[in-house]
Amino acid sequence: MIKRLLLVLCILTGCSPDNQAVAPGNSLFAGASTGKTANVTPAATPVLPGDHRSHDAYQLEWWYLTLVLNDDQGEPFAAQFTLFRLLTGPDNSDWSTAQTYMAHVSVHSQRHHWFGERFARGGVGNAGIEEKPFAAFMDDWRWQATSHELFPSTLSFSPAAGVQLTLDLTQHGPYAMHGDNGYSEKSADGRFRSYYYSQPFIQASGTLTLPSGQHSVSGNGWFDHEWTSALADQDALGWDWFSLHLDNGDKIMAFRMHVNDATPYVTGTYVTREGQSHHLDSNDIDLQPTATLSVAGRTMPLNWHMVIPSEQVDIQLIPFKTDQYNRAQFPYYEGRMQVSGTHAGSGFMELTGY
Amino acid sequence: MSRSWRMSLLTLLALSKSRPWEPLLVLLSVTLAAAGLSAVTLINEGAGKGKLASADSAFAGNYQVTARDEMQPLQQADYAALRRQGFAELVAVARHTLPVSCDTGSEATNLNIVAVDTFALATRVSSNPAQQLGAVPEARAIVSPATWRALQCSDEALMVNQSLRLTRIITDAAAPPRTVLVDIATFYQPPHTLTDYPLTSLEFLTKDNDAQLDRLRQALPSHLSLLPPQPTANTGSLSDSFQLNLWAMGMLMAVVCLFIIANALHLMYRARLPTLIQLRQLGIGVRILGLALLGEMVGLAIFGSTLGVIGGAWLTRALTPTLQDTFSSLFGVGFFGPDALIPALLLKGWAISALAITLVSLLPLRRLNQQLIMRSTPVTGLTSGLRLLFTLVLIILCTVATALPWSAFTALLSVVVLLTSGCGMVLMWLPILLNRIRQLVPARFPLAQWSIASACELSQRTRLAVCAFFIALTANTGMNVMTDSFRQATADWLTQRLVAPVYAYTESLPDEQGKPAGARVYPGYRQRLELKQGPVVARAYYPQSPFIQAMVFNSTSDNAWQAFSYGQGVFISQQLAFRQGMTLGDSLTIDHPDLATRSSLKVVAIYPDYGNPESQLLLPPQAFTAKASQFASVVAATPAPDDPQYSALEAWLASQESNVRIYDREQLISLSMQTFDDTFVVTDALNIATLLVAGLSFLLSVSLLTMDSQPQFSLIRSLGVSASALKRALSAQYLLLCLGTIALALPFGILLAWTFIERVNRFAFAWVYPLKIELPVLLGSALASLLVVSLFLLIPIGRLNARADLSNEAPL
Repeated sequence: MIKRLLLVLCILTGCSPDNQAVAPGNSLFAGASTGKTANVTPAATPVLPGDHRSHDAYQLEWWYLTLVLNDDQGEPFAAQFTLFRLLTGPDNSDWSTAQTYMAHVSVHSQRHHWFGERFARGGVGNAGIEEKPFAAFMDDWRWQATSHELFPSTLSFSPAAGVQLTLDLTQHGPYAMHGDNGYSEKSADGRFRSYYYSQPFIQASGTLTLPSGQHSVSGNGWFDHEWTSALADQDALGWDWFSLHLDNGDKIMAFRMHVNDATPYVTGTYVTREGQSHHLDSNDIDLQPTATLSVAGRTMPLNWHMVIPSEQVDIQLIPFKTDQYNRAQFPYYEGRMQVSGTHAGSGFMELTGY
Repeated sequence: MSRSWRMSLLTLLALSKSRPWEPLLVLLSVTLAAAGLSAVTLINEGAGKGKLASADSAFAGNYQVTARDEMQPLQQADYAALRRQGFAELVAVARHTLPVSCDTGSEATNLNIVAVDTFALATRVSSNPAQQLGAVPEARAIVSPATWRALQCSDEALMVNQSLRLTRIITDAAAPPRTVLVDIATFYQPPHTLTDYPLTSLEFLTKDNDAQLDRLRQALPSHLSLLPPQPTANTGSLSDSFQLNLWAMGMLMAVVCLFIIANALHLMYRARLPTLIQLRQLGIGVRILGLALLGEMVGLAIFGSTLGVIGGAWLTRALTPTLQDTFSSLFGVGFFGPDALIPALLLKGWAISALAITLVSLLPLRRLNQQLIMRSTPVTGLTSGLRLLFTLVLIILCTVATALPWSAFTALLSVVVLLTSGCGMVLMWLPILLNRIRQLVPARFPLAQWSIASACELSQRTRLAVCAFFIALTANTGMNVMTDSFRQATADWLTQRLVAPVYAYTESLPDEQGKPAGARVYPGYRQRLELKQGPVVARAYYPQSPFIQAMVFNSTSDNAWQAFSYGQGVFISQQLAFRQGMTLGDSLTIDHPDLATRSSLKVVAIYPDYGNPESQLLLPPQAFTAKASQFASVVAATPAPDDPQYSALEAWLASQESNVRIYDREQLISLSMQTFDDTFVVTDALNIATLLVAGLSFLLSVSLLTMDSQPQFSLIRSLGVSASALKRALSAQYLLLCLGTIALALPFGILLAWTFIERVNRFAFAWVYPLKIELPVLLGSALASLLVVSLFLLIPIGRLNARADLSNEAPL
């Protein structure tokens, strides 16, 4: 009976069952508002810590934490906490604002995946961003800092019954501004762009409770904050994104954007262990898939080869397990990667649009 | 063997062609039974789905967080705080009754607006978040097809409260009746604000998680409470009554049809006997003949049930809009047009009809076999001593069956016992009765004597048709007496209980400022309780005039009102008394923090509460604290609608709440009785159909046997009796048979009505009402059957060949 009413409500909110594979060429945020929004320009680059806040005038925004963790026995885990904000509608309801939030949380062990997804409207009070102190939350999924700075902070969420992750997060390096001081162009013509910065130097430690038992975990974390009004476009077909922690302490961010009727455009950032960042354009980095595998009925490029000649980087990227597919309402691949070659390490890969 | 079987079957089919009435009667009976049962199955299936899909029942079964007091309502901040504490299963809902009209400005109708936080539900369905998260510029809403039809809007847009425009209306049978489902953010567009139209509940969409429920209880702030789920047990709502009625009539129709089939088989085999003997003489074995006859019957059953199932499904589909309107307006639940899976229904129909006809054929086949093997010796009738003994046994059986039931099922079994016993009585006593009548007729009326004697003989030869007619007539009488008693009880109860000249329904207590002279406001209180055997609703009742005069009781103890007003006694409803086995003088323990009453109260009165599925008790108003749920009753000393003070009252009420509806007393009673009558329309139709078929079968049997009596008619004609006199004698014969059956059916019908009321209704729905035996009702049933018989009399009388035929050959 609940299902019957929920199907009714599904009609109410305009949803439709969407269990079909996302064909290459589907824009992730096609439904976001195309009304009047703020523009991404090179003149107004991010200034921290003020820009940790929410930028409500922009169409899309996300606060994205990915963590590669190991327990005391060396068993690998992966975790994700993401809060998306979308500017979706007119602001004339007494119930909510024009903002909509979507939260994804995910935990991977080598054999299992626990994933949670929730939605909320802005202004109701159960989702959003707080500035002082900083917090990003959806219901009881919460990333809570002690001040307006992001760190130190605590991350706590439960993606499924019997699974709980609680981590203490600290930073041990500076923020990395991508592109031109945080103004990041993702296509050759600059049509697709965003404000984008990361914190790649996160130390995480805490407790992971699983149905099988409790684990003390620790590892590296990576935080992305990005906002834009120039990505929700029918020509923006998807992207392949990588965040890597090399064993020598250096960090790499690589981003391959798929645009309709154009060749994929690759950009990236190389961050030294001392915290110096320099931008990589498509001449500086070569990023190619080396193998495709079938995941959840979709063929996806899961193995990659990355070469950055200027940094003597020639590495192979392989997922730590094949199926790291987030079976969300609008699904995508997000998972832990193993790095081998000239450098060893670990990281995360995100594939959208497949 | 198969060759012999095939040859026998072909012979039987050829006989069917030459004498088609009996096979046609079998076919018609099977078709009708299959159609009736298919329609009943599909209607009840649609009703069942509708009940499940209605919003109230979709949220029923869930715990609800609500405000204890309307002075401190549920807030959006409460919702957000609870979700932040981890109660992500909570869904905010606002329910308000508001006027809804078509966008073209038609007259507004008050409908339930249910605004739901659909985002909180989003992860429970598969959805496209891009569309969901994108604001829909055109607001959409969902209504049921019946509600949409009732609104009669030419374009797909609604106006709520003359201010909120909803376009892209979607109709879905899953939507509850008289309700508009809308997203909560859409609803709270101007001018609707959370202050003026607050949240009404937070639905907790998790079942069987006691730990989470305990956490929620502890986390709730003091101004909120956690309500248990509404009872979803089958406590006998009005729609359940309707469904039970349908099932009962469907089964009755099927039973009558079985009797008709048995009778037709009996006649058929008797007529075919000479041919069957010839086949035996040609060397065809008894077993082969029996299998051939069974094969013919099974073939008829399959063909008939195919027609019947398709007909029943077609009928249900054709009735679906009417049924949707009926269920929506009468019962407040939806009705789903059935997804008639015809192949599945057909398979069921074939299996059941083939099995039923095989079972029914066994006895006539056995008798036929005996006749084919040897000449049977005439069976002598019962001796009078045996007859009396059997009668006594049947009376004892009926008494025990009606006295002993302890559940709805055993109560229905007692109905079966009654009807079967009645058949037995008819078979034993109808010939005796007719014989006695014959003896009373003077010898100078030989034609009359012959007519009665012939009727007597016919009653023995057409026993099964008489039984079928008796059952149909008894059921018809019983149902008519039962519904008439119910109708009278309801009308009397309403007339007494509706004490005020006008009634108005408002959502909150009105502000008494500006109240016209002569009007008094009586705040109502309501509180759900859990007694040791189940949930109960406590309501306030004022122990003062005019409410004292308005009250109707089944039973009271001495000084009931005094004990009640002093808070020492409690009035309980019949439903509560039956369900918890309580009587006057019993003690009832009430323990609820929101009630200021003694913990132990004495039951001082039991009152009828017809049609209420819930158990209820009444307490004086001072027993309720401010935390109990409140509503308003306004009793005006005034006015008739043409009284000047009436408009003052109307204006004052309208100032409290826009579009308040006022009903005068007569209007309410008339509406209620119309609803009552509409409820039984379908069962009445089934009843009449059963009676018609039984009557048809009865007359066909009689007419077929009459044709066998052609030599007798020839003899009588040759003695100088005119054709018209002969036809009149035959008419009197048939009417006498009918009257004799009616005479026996009427008392059984009354007994059946008593069983329906005091046993079936008692155990199925936990309430009863007085049996009223009205002569017009009895006469109506009798006359209806006489009319049926009279109409069908034209067939045998018309077909009668009254010419003298001295050939002495009876045609096959």
